[in-house]
Amino acid sequence: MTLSSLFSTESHYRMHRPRQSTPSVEASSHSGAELVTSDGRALPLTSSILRAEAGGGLARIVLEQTFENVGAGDAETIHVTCKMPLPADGAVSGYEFTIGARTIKGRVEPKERAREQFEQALLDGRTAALLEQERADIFTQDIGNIPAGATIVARPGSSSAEPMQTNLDVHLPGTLDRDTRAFGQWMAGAEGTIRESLRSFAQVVDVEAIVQEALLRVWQVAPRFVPDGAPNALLRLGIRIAKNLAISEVRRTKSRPVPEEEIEGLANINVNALEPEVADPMLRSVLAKCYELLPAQPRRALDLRLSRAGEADSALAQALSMQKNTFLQNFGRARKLLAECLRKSGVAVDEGLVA
Amino acid sequence: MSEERDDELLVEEVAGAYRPRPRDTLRYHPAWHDLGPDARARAFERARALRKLEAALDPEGLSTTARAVLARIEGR
Repeated sequence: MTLSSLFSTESHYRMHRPRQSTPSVEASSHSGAELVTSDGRALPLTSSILRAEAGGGLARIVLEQTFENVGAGDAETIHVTCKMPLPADGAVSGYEFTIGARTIKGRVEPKERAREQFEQALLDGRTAALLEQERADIFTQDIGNIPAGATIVARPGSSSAEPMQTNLDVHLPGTLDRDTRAFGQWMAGAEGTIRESLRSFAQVVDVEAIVQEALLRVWQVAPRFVPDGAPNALLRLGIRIAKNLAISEVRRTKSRPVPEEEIEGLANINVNALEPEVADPMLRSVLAKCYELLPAQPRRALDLRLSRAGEADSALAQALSMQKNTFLQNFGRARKLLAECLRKSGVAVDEGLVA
Repeated sequence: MSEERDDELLVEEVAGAYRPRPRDTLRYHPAWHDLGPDARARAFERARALRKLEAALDPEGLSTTARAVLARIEGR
């Protein structure tokens, strides 16, 4: 997105210049929504409400988060940065924030102009906010001239295709251009559906190995792929590749005699009925907070599995000077603690995470 | 270590995204062969749940499976 948003209000608060360097808290890989003062103090998030509505092929989501400026010693001004993860396939469609009795609605401006207007508003002593895209789904927000003791309600809204309308083929042109980032975004939507299509094979083949091989083969054949015009053509191809691989494996390994009719039964899935999975925006937000609560060792094990994806656990354990079983126990502890925290926060947790 | 606990660690391992790089044929996680049918089903469910979690923790929404595939594509 090349635009940013400027929001200002005719505030009576006394003017303070924004500090020289905006304390943008680095958006880590685990960033969730938080509001941070210029000296690094996090403002308490007192509530978080996700509102969603769908219609006309669009899903609109508004994340309403209430922060309290309870700790700002400076009575007139604090400067804050807010990180707000939004759906990767969505676009910002609106923004407003409320301070006290006033609600300020945002408008979209070219990035440089928005920044200039934002800074001018602060110089004029008005409360103003600037929302800028940092990454595909991370937005930073600066709010200036917020009085001590104020409650701030931020409401970024995004629009995206309705789940039933999600078409992962939007990533097809990039994939054909050999753009691994575009293919990554396709995989983000396709992987869960491909994995689910192999559920009936779970006891007879290593599904993870097949999912990875199927994804790799989709990448390899994509340049020769001709879409049929219906949505999710590449996903349907991926599912067919995965199922064929699974059937080949059942036949090749002959780990147990499997009659042909049973193989056909395993493969009996209506490819066209499968839809891409849509990420739960609430999960990302809550999970970031749960992650911060993890004890050191489980967190280190989890971090390493994430940052060195696909490496053997024995190598990861060695990097942490742990025995492999100790590493696995720590990872398992991280998994269970996250599941417990998510449940306590009201997020539905897959049984596979705790069983 | 009890057999049950041993089994649990194997499930934890198999539910991860590590897989030996394929040569001529697809290569399974070595520990997968040590699991019985029920434990394999459990590993499937756990992997499914973990991938969602991983994607939600990743700035680009990618699971470790997707990251592992990208590493193979990029020859890492």
